Amino acid sequence: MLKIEHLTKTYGEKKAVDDLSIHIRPGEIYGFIGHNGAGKTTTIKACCGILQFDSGEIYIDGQSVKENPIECKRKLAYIPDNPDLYEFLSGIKYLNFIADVFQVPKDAREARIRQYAETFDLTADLAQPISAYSHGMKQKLAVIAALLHEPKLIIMDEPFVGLDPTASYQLKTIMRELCDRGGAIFFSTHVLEVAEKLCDKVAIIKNGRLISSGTMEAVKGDQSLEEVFLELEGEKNA
Amino acid sequence: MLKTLLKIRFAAYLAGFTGASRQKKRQSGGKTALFLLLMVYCFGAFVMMFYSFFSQMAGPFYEAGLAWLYFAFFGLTAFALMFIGSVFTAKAQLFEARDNELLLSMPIRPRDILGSRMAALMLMNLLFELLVAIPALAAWFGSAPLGASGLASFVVLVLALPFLAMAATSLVAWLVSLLTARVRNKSLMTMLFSLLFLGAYFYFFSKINQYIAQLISNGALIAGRLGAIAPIYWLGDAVANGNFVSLLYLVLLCAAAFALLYYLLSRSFIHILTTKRGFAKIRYQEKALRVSSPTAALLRRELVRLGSSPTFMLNAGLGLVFIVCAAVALVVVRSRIALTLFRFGVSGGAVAVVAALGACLLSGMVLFTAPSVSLEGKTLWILRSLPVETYELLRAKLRMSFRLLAPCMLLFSAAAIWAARPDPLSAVGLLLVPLLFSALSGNLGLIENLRHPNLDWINEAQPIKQSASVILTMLLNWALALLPGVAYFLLGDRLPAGVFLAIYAVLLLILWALTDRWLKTKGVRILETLG
Repeated sequence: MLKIEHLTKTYGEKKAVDDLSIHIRPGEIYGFIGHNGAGKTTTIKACCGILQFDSGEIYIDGQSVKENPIECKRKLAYIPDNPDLYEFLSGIKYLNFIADVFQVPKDAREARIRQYAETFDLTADLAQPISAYSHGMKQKLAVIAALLHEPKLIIMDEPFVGLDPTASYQLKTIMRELCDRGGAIFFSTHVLEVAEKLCDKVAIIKNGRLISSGTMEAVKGDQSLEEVFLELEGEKNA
Repeated sequence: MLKTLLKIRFAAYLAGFTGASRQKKRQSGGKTALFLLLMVYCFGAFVMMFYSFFSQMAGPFYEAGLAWLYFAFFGLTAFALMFIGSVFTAKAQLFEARDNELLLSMPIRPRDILGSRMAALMLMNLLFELLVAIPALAAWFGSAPLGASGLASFVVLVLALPFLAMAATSLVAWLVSLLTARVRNKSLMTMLFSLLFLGAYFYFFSKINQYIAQLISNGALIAGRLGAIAPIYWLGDAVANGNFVSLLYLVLLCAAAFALLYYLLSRSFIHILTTKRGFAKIRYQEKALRVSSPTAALLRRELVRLGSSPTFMLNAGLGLVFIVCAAVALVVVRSRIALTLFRFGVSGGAVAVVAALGACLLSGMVLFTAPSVSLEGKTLWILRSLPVETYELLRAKLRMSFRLLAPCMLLFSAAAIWAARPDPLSAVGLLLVPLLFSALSGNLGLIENLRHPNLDWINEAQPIKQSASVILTMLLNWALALLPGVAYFLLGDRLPAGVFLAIYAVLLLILWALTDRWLKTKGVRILETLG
């Protein structure tokens, strides 16, 4: 579903991502872990076609992000770490705008908005301007918007930040359901307990380079993911 | 602390204006020189305008022994310019800045935050004041003498007046902020208030020559009346007669007004910033959703964005009001306009040329596209993640501009054709030139904004009012309208109006095609690397 091959991105002299390769298959929830500034957001943005990269290739469902960015964007949904949305629109108008651009049929968009707004307890607030939303409500709206066109792949940057426990639980359920239907999830997180419980596979990145990846069992063995992460970080720092 | 805040404030101004925050490389010397030259040009243009204004008055006032009235009039003009120039910015800068919450969460006294914001506005006021002070003094020296004490008083006055103007603008900004916080249709209310204010302002300036004539002919009478208002008399007396007592009174007045406002605002600053006046929640009632194509959805988003911001509507769209007013004027006062043009030696076919170029000049003030990329700010990721061609995103901005501008231009052209009754070729030119110019100016605005983006603004007034892209676009537009006009009048009768308009239309079409090509290639590449 998502194939990252030898991705390299530099900012001036600094290599933000260095020869990174990750392969995410349909049905997988793939966690992406790393310290602040490790290159997670850069990788995620490059996968979504919103950041140019220097070399390597990224394929979404077999299509190159470089060659066919539009087709790739149709198949994926992106949820950024900070839900900066159009504050001049109401929640419902924002969702309708996203549905228009993704060309979601009328009945389908109405049904999905109804379903997900109920799930995330946002129905009553949809007529409110986004400027009146709290951070968590914006995050919920961004999640609903991402789900409207039934993407095959969802790429999320710290998706649980700002969500209340119920919404976090609902999001995890939706993530699992999407993967059960043959979709895939690629998300970054600093909450290692969540990654450990939720992810089928995990990749650990440090200073732009992949230092460990594979199934959760293979990466962590008998230890907790936190212990493995700290160990790997320590090794590289030593 | 205040010093640190001031440094940040001025750095943000500079970065916002030059787009330096987005640039990875240092700006080249050539670009800096060009930028400075541009600033000097803008400053010079205003100085020349005010010089011609004051030079009409200096001689007669001196001869009539009304030197004090001249300097009082300078003070009032400077105060008015400072007030008008900063009143709209003050509300946004003082009470709506994005970093309010960040700064309030730090161990900084609210009065320091307020002080740093007021200081930045005051510097802006001082620059506005210099636009009047330099030509007023130069015009006076051109006709009359001024003693050393008068000159010293003038300098002190120039330094003191921004405090008074700052007090007035802060008071109005505060009142507007309180008023609009209580109404639901904030955008509409602010827009109406601003239009009323601007209407009064333009009415006054449309009558300015009449007022100057009255001032000159009835100087003694006006002096008698104004002299009764002590601060106005002090204003003039301090400079004209070098009266330090009057100067002291005036300085004390400025300082007291500023201190009072600063005291009142600093006491309630944190309250104003942190009080959210909630409205009754609108509960969502499910209803059928309107389905649109991606192209229509993108266009609608641009229009809603525009409609949600009075600052954007007023600053970028005021030209539309002027175009409609000009069209109405062409119909209602046709003969007066024809007479005025005739006095300037414009008659026959040249009237159509002047009308077409006039339409272009007015269209050059409509700047919807020039801040449009910057206004995406931190939400640019949404556009970039949509499954549409990058050019479509730019095209939505161009279409929004053209859709609003074209009907106004057609209205103007129809009125101009009715008023000027030109030959058929000129009539076609009069229809085509304003439309082509509108399309081209939209492209130019977008190009300039892509070349000088500012996505890190603290309040939206920065990209809309204080950005290089907006100023460069307006100057480019005016140059494109004025230079062909100069060429036409230099050629005299050798080039028929219809032929000139046809050549100009072809030139605009070529420029439009070139700029469109730039947007489709380089423009797309720039947008794809932004953010």
